[in-house]
Amino acid sequence: MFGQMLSVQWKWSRWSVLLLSLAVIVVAIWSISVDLQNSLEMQSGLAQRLEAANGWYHTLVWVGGFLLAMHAWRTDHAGRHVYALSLPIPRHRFVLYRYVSGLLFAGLIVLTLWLAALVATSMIEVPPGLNAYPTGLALRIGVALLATYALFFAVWSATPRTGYYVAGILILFVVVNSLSPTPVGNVLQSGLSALWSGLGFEHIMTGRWFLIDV
Amino acid sequence: MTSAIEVSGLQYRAGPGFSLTGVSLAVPTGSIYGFLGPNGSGKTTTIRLLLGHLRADAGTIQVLGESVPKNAERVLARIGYVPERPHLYGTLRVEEAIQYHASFYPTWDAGLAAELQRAFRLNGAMVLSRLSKGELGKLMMLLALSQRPELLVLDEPTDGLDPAARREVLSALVEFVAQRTATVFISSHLVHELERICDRVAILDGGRVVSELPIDILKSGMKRLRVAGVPRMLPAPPFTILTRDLEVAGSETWAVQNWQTQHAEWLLENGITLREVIDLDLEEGFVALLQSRAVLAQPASDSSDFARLST
Repeated sequence: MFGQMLSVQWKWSRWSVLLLSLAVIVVAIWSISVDLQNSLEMQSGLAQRLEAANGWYHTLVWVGGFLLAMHAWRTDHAGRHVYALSLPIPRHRFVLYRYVSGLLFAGLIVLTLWLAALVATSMIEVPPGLNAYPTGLALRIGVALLATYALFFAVWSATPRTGYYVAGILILFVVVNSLSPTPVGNVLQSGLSALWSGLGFEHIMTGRWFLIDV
Repeated sequence: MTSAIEVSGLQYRAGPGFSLTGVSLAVPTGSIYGFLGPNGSGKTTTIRLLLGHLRADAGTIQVLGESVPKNAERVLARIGYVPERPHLYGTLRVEEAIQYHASFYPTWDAGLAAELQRAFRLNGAMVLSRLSKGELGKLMMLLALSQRPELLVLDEPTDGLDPAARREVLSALVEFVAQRTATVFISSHLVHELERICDRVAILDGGRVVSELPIDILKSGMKRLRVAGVPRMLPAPPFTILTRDLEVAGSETWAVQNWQTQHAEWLLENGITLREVIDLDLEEGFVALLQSRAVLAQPASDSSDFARLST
């Protein structure tokens, strides 16, 4: 049963998984395809490239989490869940299988990244003490992808009505904020800050992806 | 006689405009039970409650001896369901859809599935979104039958199919039931279709069951009477007048229920001349029954006094 669910979900997700895998290969190789043993200018160029790659990883993690969660739910939403609800399987187990399937695809992307980082580091002379770079990078992106996937999986699992409520609340906040910047604006600002910075949710994405301090 | 489905006092409010009110049904095991009603009468809602998709506000539901929605998963493993609208994943190929569906049912009959796929001429490589409505209907019937269900719940299974596809789907259904002691609960607004295959019917209108009885009794008691000399004040008859149509002065056509031959004497006693008794088929009877409910629901007025019916 799980095998069939996995296979069907793969069919929906495969192009996204392949494209994301290709993207992480390109970014992983491009980000460090600079000779570290060369001059200081080259090392500065590497620093800039790593900064740029940081942004790319950030984007790929958000896009990856979004797409994997979307593919897990979109077809069931389109059929108003009639088919899923007609199958003799407890709902919680059905949702778990869908979630785990997406997680396995996320794992594929992370595995690809790890292999690509291994290849990339084998192409240059890695400074001493940084041999764990591919594993560290893959682990961090794995955790980040897990976080975004879990977030979007929860969002996508909601009914359209819940989606409208959430969107309505957000729009209300934005409208109120634009009409009266204080004190509601401050509340919004504080809320967003709590979510998006410091120890908030996105902190895992805004930290440096690399354990190389250049 | 045991019941495959037993529903008692079911109440469900879907919104401000529609509710099921006190729906009670008893579907005998092994029967083909027709669930009739006009569009919007609550047939699909009742079916969704039977399957545990929705939770009733009040009332009890027992399906195959299990309480629903409490034991819905156990019940669903023993039910073949064909919904009103195609619900399968449109991106799958026919073969993939069959494999996917089969993986959920331990009782899956791969031989029967292959046989039906041949009989229905379903190409395994075809993507579901490219199938015609008739082919999708056949595929859904294939999936439901190959589960070897104890109960088939079919919600308008032939709606929108061309006559050839409809005949194939119904033949497969009848053959399946003939070979096994399965119960079939089939909802439709295509009355003439159910007339041929059902043992018993319930008629739903406006969220209420308005009639529930064996189909032969329903059919045999439904007649169209051409009468003349109807008195201005008609005493209560021993049968139910569903509709009254004035033809020419003093001459009327009645659609009646529970008619028996000896009722002709009552007409004579009241000075009414019985000119003709015509058998109604189920569809005509069904329409008359719904018309009578519509008339009774109207507020009284001079013009409707004539049409308001003696029951």
